[in-house]
Amino acid sequence: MAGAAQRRSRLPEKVFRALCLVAVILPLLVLTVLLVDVVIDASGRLSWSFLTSYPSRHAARAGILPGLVGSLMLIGLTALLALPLGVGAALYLEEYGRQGRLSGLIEINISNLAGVPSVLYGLLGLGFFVRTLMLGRSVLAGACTLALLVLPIVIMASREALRTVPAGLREACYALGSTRWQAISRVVLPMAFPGILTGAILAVSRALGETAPLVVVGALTYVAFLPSGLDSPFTALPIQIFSWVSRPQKAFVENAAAGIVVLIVTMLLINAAAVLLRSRLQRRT
Amino acid sequence: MSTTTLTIRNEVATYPGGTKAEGVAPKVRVQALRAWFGKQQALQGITLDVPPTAVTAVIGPSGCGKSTFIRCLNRMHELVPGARVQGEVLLEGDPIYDAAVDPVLLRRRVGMVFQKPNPFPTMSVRENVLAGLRLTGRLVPQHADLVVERALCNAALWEEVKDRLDAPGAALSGGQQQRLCIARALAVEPEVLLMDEPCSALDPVATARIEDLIHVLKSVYTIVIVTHNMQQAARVSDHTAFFLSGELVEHDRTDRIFTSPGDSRTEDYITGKFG
Amino acid sequence: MRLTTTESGAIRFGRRAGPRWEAAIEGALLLCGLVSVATTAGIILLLAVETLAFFREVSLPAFFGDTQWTPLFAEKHFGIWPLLSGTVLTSAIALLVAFPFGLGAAVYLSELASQRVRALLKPALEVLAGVPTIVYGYFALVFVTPVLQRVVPGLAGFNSLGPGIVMGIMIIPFVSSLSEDALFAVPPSLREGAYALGAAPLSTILRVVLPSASSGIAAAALLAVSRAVGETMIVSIAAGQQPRLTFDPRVPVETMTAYIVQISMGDVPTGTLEYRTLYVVGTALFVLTYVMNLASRRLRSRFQELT
Repeated sequence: MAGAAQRRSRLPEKVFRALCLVAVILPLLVLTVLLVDVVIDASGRLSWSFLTSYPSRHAARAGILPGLVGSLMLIGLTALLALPLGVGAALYLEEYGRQGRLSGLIEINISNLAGVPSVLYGLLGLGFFVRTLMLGRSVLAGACTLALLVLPIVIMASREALRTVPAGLREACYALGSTRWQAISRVVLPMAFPGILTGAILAVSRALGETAPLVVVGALTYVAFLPSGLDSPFTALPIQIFSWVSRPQKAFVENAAAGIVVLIVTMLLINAAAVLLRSRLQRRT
Repeated sequence: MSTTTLTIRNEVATYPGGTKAEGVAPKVRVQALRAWFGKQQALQGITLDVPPTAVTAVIGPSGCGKSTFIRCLNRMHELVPGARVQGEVLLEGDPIYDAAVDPVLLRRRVGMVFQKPNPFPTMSVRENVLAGLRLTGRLVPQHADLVVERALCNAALWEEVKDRLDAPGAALSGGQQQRLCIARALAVEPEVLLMDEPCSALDPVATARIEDLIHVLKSVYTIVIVTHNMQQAARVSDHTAFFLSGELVEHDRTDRIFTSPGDSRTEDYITGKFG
Repeated sequence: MRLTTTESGAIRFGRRAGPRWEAAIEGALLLCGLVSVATTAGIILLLAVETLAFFREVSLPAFFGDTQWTPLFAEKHFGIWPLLSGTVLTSAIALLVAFPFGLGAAVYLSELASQRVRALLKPALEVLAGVPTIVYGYFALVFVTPVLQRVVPGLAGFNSLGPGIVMGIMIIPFVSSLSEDALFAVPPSLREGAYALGAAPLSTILRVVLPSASSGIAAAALLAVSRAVGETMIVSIAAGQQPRLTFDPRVPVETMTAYIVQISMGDVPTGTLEYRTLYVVGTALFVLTYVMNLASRRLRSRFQELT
């Protein structure tokens, strides 16, 4: 073949391909190193007593119980607040207000809010929930703040879920004489439920790991009691970790690592439970 | 590093007609070509010769395998995931499906123009014409202006864009964009030019200009043109191949196919009974 | 279920069905939607009120002209530049890390990898964005900085290099995901055109695909930087609390976000000028991230129009 004498060097392509592969693999490798390092640092401290004790000035005796309980209370409340609001907003946008001017306004706001730094939600929470509504530095104020933070996540996931319900189903309901809300509450929502649940899990996961807004709202870093009610001061897992990692003594750093392990395990458990629940639900529909 | 000299082809001459005598060695010889998309067989065993410096039209109803066929001639078919080819295609006697053949180098000898004009949007007219040479590392900067002028002249576009060479390629009209793509393909100096329904996205005026262009180009290049427009095939080509359901039904000189086709299926298609 | 007749005469199923009930539901749902509008309004209002109160006591030239930030010291300076430089320095380092890796990953996933590899690696990369930032902060302080100290002479325990690099790793999925979308949106006809000219895949990617996707990629980079600018915990833990106008990545600095955390954890009485610095810095942060997000969206919509 006349062109066979020209041999094209394949080397640049191979090098390029290898570089791109490195670009994908290297960060994942670093992440693995990170996690392994945390687990190693934590191995000395992780124990049942760690999970069930209170923080202490003596690193060896410090535990994460208030943080764990506080976090669970927080995310429970956050879910309770964010889910109805988020699903309601998604319903309005998808079912009632399509193309309306109000819908446009809401949509712009949601996409703006998704890009606002989380610490600014903390400032909002501080100024509005803690001071103006006089909720004080309480679990409720923290949960309200986190709920606003994760609201865009819930809304976006719920909208996706609602969109998967075929339009024909709604029309079938109307043809049978149902009202819009009946169609929604009896047919659309149940069908969209798995997707909505996914959104809820994403939101809860996010809320669990958030530190900055809680710091600003006034979560305490040294708490020797469990939150007594909605209006009591509180702490959370990430806050506890933050306070430990800020101390110079190596022993506290180990506590921080152990706290991180507890945090990650909790996140994984919640995600796993949700995935299980969702697959159960999907099998039924 | 080997130097590549750029051969500038002479101004293409016009002369009427131009069916080459039979008996000339074919430019492209296809033997028992089969092609698949995954499990779906698209070509059933095509054998035909493409004569040099002439226009061969490939006609047939939608889905008959025309596009698949010409994409096998420049090894673009295999870019589709799951695509497969069997059989032989010889370019001037060299098998292009040989294991040692680099498809990238092959495509520098067999150029292609697509149905929808696809000039590179981030490049100017000038840069588009030079794109083939630049992308393959064969651009000699001193020759650049000459290459641009030659290619645009050969594509009958020079007069219209000579003052606008730095305008974005996508700013031209549809017909101009297609001629730009032809210029781009010609700048690489291929031996064979494959055209996949080049006029189907264009208006009749633009179509006519491109058909005139093909008349001129065929004295230098071997052209294979896929068209669903039979009148176009009759106007433009010297030879015609009729495909049906992945099979080559008939291949003959255009004047013979359109006046006295050998196969009844060809006759039915040409007279509009189907397709 | 009872059949009722509504005012319009239509027959409806259900106990409380009726246009008034439906309207009430719609109203309630609208209110849910308006919560997001209220949130935005609340943030803006709060920041504005407190910032205006701040500027009644501190002049604009003092804010924009001073190169020191010492609101808690006896001699008070209110120049925003030290905090701004801390933010810019850490975010720039983050982008320097995230952009090549993110773009390389995007090219690999969208142009070079097979379907199976892509299905495996793409979600894996997304995990990077899902790790709580406090974990990254720990990593930056406890692992990355000591490692870097062996390589970089004069690297302090608190610096902007370590957290910058770790933030870069965190925002890689932002760059790679959006860049991948941009690459995917480049029409296949462009790639085909290049191949038909005899271009090799590498030339095609570098000279045809990437330039065509450039505004989408720029949008990705902007969004990633905006995320880095707003990041709080990594820099609070590892970058330090010393506001310093510098471009030296080896020394402690303080970012705008870290300052907000520092004041919140301290015992500055509310209503004072020092307390209001919280909101002024918050406003600066808000404006900065908003402008970047807006620019990113504009670039993305312009890109979508082109392809």
